[in-house]
Amino acid sequence: MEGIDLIKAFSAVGAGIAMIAGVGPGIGQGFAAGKGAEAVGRQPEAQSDIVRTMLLGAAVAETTGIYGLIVALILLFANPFI
Amino acid sequence: MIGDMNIVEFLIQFLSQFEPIDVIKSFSALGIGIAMVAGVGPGIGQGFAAGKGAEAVGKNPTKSNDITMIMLLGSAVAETSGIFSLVIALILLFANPFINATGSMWVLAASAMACGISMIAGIGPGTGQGYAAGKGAEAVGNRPEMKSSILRVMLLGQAVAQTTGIYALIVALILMYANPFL
Amino acid sequence: MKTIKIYKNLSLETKIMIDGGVVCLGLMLFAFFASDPLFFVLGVLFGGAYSILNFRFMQLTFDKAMKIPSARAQKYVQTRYFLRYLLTGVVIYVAIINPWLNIVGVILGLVAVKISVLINTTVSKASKKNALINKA
Repeated sequence: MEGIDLIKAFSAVGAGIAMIAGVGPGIGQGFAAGKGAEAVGRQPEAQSDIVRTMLLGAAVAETTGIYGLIVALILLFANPFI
Repeated sequence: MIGDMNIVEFLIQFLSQFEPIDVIKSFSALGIGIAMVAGVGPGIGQGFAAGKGAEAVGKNPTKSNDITMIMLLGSAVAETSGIFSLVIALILLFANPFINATGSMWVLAASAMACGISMIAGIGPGTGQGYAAGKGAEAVGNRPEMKSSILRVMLLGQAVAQTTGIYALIVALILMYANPFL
Repeated sequence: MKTIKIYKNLSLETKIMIDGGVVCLGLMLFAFFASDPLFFVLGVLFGGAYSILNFRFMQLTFDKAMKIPSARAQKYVQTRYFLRYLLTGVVIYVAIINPWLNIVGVILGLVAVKISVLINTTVSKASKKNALINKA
């Protein structure tokens, strides 16, 4: 086994671990959607306001998942160590 | 068990056959991956804030603008720990100080991984600040006239909650640039 | 004048999408620091276009999620999130593989909508308030 293989193997493991970051926004958005649906159920006439607030919050929440994805894909396809 | 060695001895012997620079690069890659785990925290926290904000708007639709603003301000602060870990990951990727450093391979490789591990602490501030943002939005929904003091208290709490994340960042930076083990 | 009036009557979501494009134009100024400005601009355009599309998908998802019961809405939004996450992965993969797209530009483009959200909700609110105070 060459040194480069070791780097590749560890990069693959690192990329896999970095993808865990994607779980967080998923859980969070699910929670937001659940709460939002509850609120709409209680007060249907405020639906557009509720959806707007939720949408803005979720749009902000997504970025950390994207950071993890970017780092994982850089490790896989544009690895500066190799 | 491999032969009569325990697993640590085996790992040390296995890694010793490689060039030190390759081992350091490998452990840096692993550390980069581990650092990004911190992204879970802000994700959960901001999602919580979005949910609480939606609930608050449902209770008090006329104040939806104020509630959204507080929620987004809180969420933007909660993002910080995710950005810290991204910064550490990018430093390890593109400006890795361990590759040019002189010293024991083991210390350098372990420090590279430890940088990543210390950034996991970002989960805590991320979730906590998101929780604060959600509760702040809820509070503004209940008492819109107290908006400015709610905002102040929320930001103060978030600033205090950020300290552990900053400790993690400082530890990672010390390991990189002023490593006491070298 | 007429366009300004139309712009003011748009819903906040549409405004955010339009301002996402404006933020992309602003981010293109960073091209002066890049080694090859053309590829950087293309990267920002690519990332920005995807982030606006992503925001639109999210809007459609939440609009639909509100019409179904809470527990099912949660699962629905989570599956849709992971589908979008996959799509983001494809976009970043294309950006890394394609030599015509600067990856830094794409990443800046991807956060354009977030910047637009923050500007739209915090900065413009404050300026409107100041205008009211000045009037009074």
